Amino acid sequence: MKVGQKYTIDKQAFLAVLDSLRRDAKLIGPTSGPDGDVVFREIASVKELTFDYVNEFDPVKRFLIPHRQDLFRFELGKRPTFEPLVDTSPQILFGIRSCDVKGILHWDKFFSGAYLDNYYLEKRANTTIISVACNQPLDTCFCICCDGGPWLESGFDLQLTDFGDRYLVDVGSAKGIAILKKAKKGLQEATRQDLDLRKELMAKCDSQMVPTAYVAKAIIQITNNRVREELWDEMGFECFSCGGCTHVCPICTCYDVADYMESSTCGVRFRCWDSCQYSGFTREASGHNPREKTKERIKRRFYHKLSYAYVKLDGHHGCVGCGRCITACEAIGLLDLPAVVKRLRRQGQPEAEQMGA
Amino acid sequence: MENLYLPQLAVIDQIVDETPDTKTFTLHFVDEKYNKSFSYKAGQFVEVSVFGKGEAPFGLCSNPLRKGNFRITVRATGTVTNAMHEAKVGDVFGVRGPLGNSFPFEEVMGYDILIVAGGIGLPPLRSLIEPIFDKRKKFGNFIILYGARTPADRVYKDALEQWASRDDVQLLQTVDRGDESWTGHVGVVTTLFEKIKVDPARTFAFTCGPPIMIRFVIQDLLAMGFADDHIISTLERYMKCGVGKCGHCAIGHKYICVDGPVFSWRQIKVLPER
Amino acid sequence: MSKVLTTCPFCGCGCGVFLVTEGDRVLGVAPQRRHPVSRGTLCVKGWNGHQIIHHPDRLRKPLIRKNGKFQEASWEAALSAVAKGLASFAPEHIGVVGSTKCTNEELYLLMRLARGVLRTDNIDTSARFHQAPTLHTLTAQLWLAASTATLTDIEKADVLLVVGSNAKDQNAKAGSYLIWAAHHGGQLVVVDPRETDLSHFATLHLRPKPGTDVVWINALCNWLIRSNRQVAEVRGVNALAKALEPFSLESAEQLCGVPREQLEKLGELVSRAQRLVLLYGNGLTQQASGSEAVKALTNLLVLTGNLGKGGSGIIPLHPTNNTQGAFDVGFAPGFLPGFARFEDREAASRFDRLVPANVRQKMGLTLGEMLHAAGEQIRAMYVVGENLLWSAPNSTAAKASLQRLDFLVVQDLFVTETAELANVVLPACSYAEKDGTFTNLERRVQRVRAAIPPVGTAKADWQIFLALAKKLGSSMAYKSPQEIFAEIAAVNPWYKGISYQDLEQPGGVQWPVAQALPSAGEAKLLAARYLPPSEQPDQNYPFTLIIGRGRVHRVSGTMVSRSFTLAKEYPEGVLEINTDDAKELGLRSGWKARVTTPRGSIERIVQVTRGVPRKVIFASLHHKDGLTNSVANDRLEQQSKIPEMKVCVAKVEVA
Repeated sequence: MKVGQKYTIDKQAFLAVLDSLRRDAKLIGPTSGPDGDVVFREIASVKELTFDYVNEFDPVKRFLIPHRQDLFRFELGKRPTFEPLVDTSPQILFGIRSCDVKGILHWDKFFSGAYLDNYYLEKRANTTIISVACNQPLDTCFCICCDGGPWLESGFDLQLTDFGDRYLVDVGSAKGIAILKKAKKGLQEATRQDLDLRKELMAKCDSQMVPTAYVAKAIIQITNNRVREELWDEMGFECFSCGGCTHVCPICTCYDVADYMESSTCGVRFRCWDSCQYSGFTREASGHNPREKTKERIKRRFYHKLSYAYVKLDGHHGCVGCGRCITACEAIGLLDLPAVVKRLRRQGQPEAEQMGA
Repeated sequence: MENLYLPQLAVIDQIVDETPDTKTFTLHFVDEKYNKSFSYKAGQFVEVSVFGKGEAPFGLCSNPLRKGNFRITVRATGTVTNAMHEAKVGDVFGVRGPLGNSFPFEEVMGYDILIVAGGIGLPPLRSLIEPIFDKRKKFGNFIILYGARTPADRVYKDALEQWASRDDVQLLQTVDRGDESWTGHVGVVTTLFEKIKVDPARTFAFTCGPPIMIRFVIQDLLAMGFADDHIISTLERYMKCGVGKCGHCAIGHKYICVDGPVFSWRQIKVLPER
Repeated sequence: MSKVLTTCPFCGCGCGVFLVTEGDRVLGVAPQRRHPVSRGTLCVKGWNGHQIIHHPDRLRKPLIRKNGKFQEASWEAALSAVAKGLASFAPEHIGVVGSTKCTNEELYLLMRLARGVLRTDNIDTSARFHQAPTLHTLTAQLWLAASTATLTDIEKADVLLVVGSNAKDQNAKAGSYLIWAAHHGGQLVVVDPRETDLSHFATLHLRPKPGTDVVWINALCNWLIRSNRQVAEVRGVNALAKALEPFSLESAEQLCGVPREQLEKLGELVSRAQRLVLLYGNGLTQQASGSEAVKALTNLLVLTGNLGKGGSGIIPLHPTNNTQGAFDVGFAPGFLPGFARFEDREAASRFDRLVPANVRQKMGLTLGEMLHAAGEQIRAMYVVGENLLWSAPNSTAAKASLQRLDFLVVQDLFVTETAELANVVLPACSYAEKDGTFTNLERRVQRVRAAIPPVGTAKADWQIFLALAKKLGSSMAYKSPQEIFAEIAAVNPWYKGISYQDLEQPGGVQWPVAQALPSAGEAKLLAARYLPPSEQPDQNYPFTLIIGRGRVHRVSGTMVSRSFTLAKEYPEGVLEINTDDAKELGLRSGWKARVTTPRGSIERIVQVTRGVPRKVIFASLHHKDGLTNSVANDRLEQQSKIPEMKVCVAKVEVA
C-alpha cells in the first residue's frame, strides 16, 4: 500500500475499522445535534454517526485550537513553579470536509516556521484526518473558487468518497495506510469506473456551487492599495465588530493570552480566541490604538485575506471557500468574503454598472 | 518539543527608579546554566511575566556585550507593568527571550552614528549605545539626541551625565517643559537637528520614541538627505506571544515580534499601515 | 468536547447559541445556524460574554458578615440566616429585587416567594430602569406588555421607525435586520439626538431635543388625523384628535427642534407604509414623559393601521435577556402573571392561591421607590442578580440608602459592589449551569440548558428560592424548572398551550399560541401628555447629558467587565461633545473632561464629534474614573416610575 493509491471498501467494513480505532484515540465525527443540525463530537460508537449532513457551522478548529487552551499552571512562591499543560491525547477527525482540511494544512505551516508552537503541533501530530469528499455543499459554499474542495489530492490521512454502500478511499499518509491495513475484508483497488464515478459525483457537487468569489482582481486592488477610502468608510458603518467572521474562519488563528488565578497561590495561563475585528486587539496599555476605527480593522482583515504579500507568505489567499463568514456576519450579506471581493471588484466602476450586480 | 510559552525564572538583582513612573530592573536567570548561555543582541526584547497578572514585552536596555545579567526599563501603564513596579529585589519574574530582530551593529561599523531618542525610547537604544562605546574606535562620529517631556521624565540620568562628560560623543538633550533647575534646551527633539552637523551619506540614524516623535524625526532625516535604509527605527504594537503566532502585532504581513521590532525606513514605508 | 444548545443572555434578542464544553468547563460558544432569528450570528457580547462563567471572581461559597467581615459559611447556615433575617421584618418593610438575568421559572418562584411567603408586593427588577413604560403603557392600550411584531418582520416591512435606540450596538440582531432592510428597499427612519452607525443608513434622521419625544409623536399623530392620512374607523380617534389639538408640527419644530418638513416626510412615509415596524429603546423610555411617549408611539401604530396586521407592529428593544419574562410572570408591583393588574379584581382573584388578597390590596414599591425608601420604609432587601450600585441612577445616593438597611441579602455570581454591603451573600449559578427558559423581546420562549455542573457550591436561583421558601415554612415544592414552567403556562393565559417539550424546536415558541395578539379594534387610543424634563439647562449646568450603553455593555457592566475580551474592548467610558462646544471649552479628543451634574462628577476621555447636537453631551456607562450612573438623574417619571436617566443637566470642564 502506498500514499496516493486509491481503494474501495465496503462501508460497513470501514466503519468496523473506525470503531476499533476508538480503543486508542478519541473518535470525533458528525452526529445529529439537538436542533437536528450536524455536530462534530466524540462518539462512543459509530452508530452515533450521521452520514447525511452538510458541513458543521462551527469549524473543526476547536479540536486543534480550542476556544480556550490552558498553557501551563503555576504556583506562586519565592520560586514559582510551573506545570505545562500540553494536550497530546490522540484523536481521529472523521468526516470533516475538504475546506476544513485545507484550513488545517494552513495552520500546520503557520504554527511551524522559526518558532514551533508545540501546543498545536503536538496535538496535530496525534491527530488523524479521515476526510470525506463533499457531496452536499451549502448554498453559501464557494470552495471551487479557493482550491478548497470539494475533494482534495492530498493533505488528509485518508479521504473517503461516499458511494452509498462503499467508500472510495484516497490514501494520504502512512497513518492512513496503517488504518486501512486493519480492514479485514471488502478492500479492493479502485477501478477506472470507480474513479469515473467520483469524477461524476464531484462534478455534480461543483455544479451545485455558484462561484461567487473571483478573488484575482480583489487581490490586485488590495495589494496595490487601490481601494477607495470611501468604500472602507462605508464598510466601517456596516460592520458590527462582532468578530464572527474570524471565529468561524478555518484560516484565522489569532489568540490572546491571559492569567487566571484559581486560588490565592495557584493560577493558570491560557490562550483563547481573539479577533482582529475587536478594538481591544491592538489597543496598547497607554490607551493608544493604531486600529481604533472599525474600518481600519476591516481593512486589516481583508489585507490579510487578500493581499499578495500574504499569498506569497502562505502560498494561497486566506480563504478556503467554506462560506461560514456569510452566515456569521451580522451585517447580512455585506462584509463576508465573497461580498467584499465583489465590492472591491466593482469599486471604481460607474454607479450604473454596479446596479447591474 | 520545546515549550514555546514556558518562561524561565529570573531574579531581580537591582531596581533603579528612573522617573516617577519608570523603573529599571537588573535581572539574572535562576538557572545558572541558562544564565550563562543567555546572549542577545541590541534591539532584541524579552517577554516578562508576573504570574497571575500576565506577560508583556520589554526591549533589553543593557549592554549585550556584558554577560551575567540583563536590564529592562519599565514604565507603569498597565496591569503587568504596575505589578512589576511593586516587585522588590530578590523577587522573580518569568522571562522568555531574547525575541525579535536587532539593530544592525557590525553592518554600521565605520559609519557615523546618530541616535535620536524620545522619553522611554532611550532604553532599547541604550543596548546599542553602550556596545558602540565599547568598540568606539570602530565607529565614526557619534551623536546622541535625547528629548523628554520634563527634566524629571528623563531616564538614565546618571548615564546621561556620564555620556555628557565624554569627548567621543556629542550628547544633546531637550525637554518639552523645563523647570527651575533646567538650563538646557527646551523644545521637541527635532529642534536639536539644527545644532548638529551630520553627513547623511556617512551616517546611520537610529530613532526610538513615541510614534508621533518618530514620524517627525524621520520626516526631518529624509529632508536632511538620509537614504531610506540609513534610517533605522523600531515599531511598537500590542504584543502577546512574541513568536509570530498570536497575530496582535502584525502590520501588513510583518509581525513586529519576529520581523522586528527594528525596521529601516525602506521597510516601514511600504507597509500598508503605519 | 461537546456542544450544549442554549439561549444567549446578553441582550433581549435571544440568539441561539451553543456552549462548547470540555469536561466541566465552558471553553467558548458557537452560534446556532438553525435559529430562526439569529441564523448563525452572534454579536461581540454573544461571542465573548461566556468568559464570565469561569472568571476567578466567581463566588464559590455562601458568605455571612460577622463583625463587619465576610466569612465563608455552609448553605444551611446562610439560608437560615437569610430566613431568620427576612422573617423578622414586617412585609411592608421588605423589598425583593429580582433580575432579568433569571429564568422565567426563577422569576415566577421569586414572585411566589415574595408575595406568598414574605407577603410583600415590593418586588421589582432592573427592567424598571429601562422598560417600565412598556409594562405600564402597553398593557393599558394593547392589554399586553410585549412586542406585537417579530424581529424577522423587519425584513418584510417597508418602513422602519427606530426611536431612541442605537440598535446596532445594543440589540445587535435588531440592528442587523434594520441595516439589511435599509439595503433592500426598506425606508429606515432613525430618531436619536446622536448620529450613530444606524442613522448613517437612515432615509430620515430626526434629532429631537432630549426628553421631548412625546411632542413630535403627538404632532405627527395630530397631522395624520387632520390630513386624513390615518386609517379610518379607529375607536377613540375623535377624542384623541381633540386632545392633540395643541400639538402642531410648528410647535413640535419649536419644542423638539425637528424641522417641520422632516415630520411631514415621516408622516408621508408612515401613512403610506404597507408594513410599518416601530422599535423603541431606552432613549424613549428613560425620560419624564417616558410612559407618555410610549403611549404616543402606540397611538401612531394604531392610527397607521399597523396593529393586528401581519408583518408590522411595535417592538420594545429590551436591553436584557429576560425583561419580557419578568413582565410575563408578573414580577412587578401591582402586576400578576399575564399582565393582569391588582385593580382588575376579577382577573386578580384568579391568582388568590399565588398572591394572597391582602398582598394585592396595595401596590408595592417599584425599584426606584425602594431605593429611595431604603433605610426608612424599606428595612430589609433581598437582591437577586442585580448590582444596584452600578445599575441604579444616582448610585452614590443608592449606596447610602442601601447602607441604611438593617438587613441586606445579595445573591449573585460575584461579590459585586452591592454584595459588599450585604449581611449574607449567596453564590448563584450562571446561565451555563442551570435549566429553564428565557423569553426574548419578541415573545419567544426559549430553553436555557445546563452545560456544566455548578461552579463551586453555587446553586441555581430556583433551587435557592425553594430552599429558602422551605426555611420560611412554605410548602412550595417543585422538582424541576419543567414543572414550574408547566405552572406558568397554566396561570398565564398568554403561555397557554406551550409545553416544555415544544420548546425543543429551534427558536422555541413565540407566545401566544392559544389566542391572538390584539387586533386594531381592541386597541385603546390614549392621549399622551408632555411632561417636560425635571431638569432644564441653566447657567450653572448649560448642557443636557444623555447616558447610554456602549457597544459591549449589557446593563451595568458587572458581567462584561469580567469577560476580559469585552473589558479590553471597552476599557473606559467616553464623553461625546459637539465640535463647537468643545472649541468653546478648549477641549480636544483624547483629553479628559470633568462632567458635573447636580449629583456629582465623573471624568471621561473626550471624543469631539459633530454627531451630538450643540449643548448635548453623551456619556457611556462605565465604572472607570467614576460611575457614569453616579451622576445620572434618579428622579422618577410619574406613571411607571422609570428614572429620567436620559435627561439631566450637566456642566463640562477640562479635567
